[in-house]
Amino acid sequence: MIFLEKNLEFNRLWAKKFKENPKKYRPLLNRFINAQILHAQKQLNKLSTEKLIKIFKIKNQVIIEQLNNRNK
Amino acid sequence: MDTDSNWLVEFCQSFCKILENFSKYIVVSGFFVISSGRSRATEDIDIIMEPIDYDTFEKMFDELKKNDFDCLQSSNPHEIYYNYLMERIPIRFIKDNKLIPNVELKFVKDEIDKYQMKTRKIVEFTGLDIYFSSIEANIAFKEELLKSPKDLDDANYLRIVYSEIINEQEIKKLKGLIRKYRL
Repeated sequence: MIFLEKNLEFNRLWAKKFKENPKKYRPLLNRFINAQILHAQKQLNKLSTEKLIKIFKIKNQVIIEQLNNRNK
Repeated sequence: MDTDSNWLVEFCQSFCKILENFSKYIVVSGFFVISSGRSRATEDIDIIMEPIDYDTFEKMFDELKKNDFDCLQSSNPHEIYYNYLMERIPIRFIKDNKLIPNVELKFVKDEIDKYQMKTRKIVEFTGLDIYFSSIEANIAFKEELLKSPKDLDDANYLRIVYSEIINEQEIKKLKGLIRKYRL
């Protein structure tokens, strides 16, 4: 609960700061987004092809082949 | 990749640039909120497009392929068009063999999608040359239909950032349409 309240407060403060000066805060936002994408990509790389097929509903055989050939 | 630019933005811009040559589109939900500055995670970009005929879709698909976008469901445009898009089932595209980020793409399905398409906007504050569903539509969907803590936080965020230009009557109208067509 405390975490949720803190998170809400952070969002409110960030919204106000960003609105005042988007130019100043956008580079920080970009770094956060990129780090998040990189982290998610790394996490996905640890998963088996079967799991990825299930999560993303992959049916394209070309992509399945590429996933199977990862780390080979 | 350039670490100063936003990879999600680059991905979305390159996809939309191709899409706009073939159909009208709108980017909705999470990516709009992030483009408005909210610092939260997302892995996909939701896009709705006006239906196009098969021949046009095939050209669009080829163009996407030339630019390294692959569809997760199939590499056969005929199958994707008739088994997914025409059945109102969304499809996903990835770029350069990376599963994240990805685009979830679907055809307009009802009156509320048509209305969103009619009221689509390039939102100056985002700094992007991309068509989004209106600020009011994004708030209405998150408050009336989606309602998860993340969506309600998103709506609050948009209400702060766009407080001077939000049209409350429009949000009310859209919530009425959501109740009529989606609930």
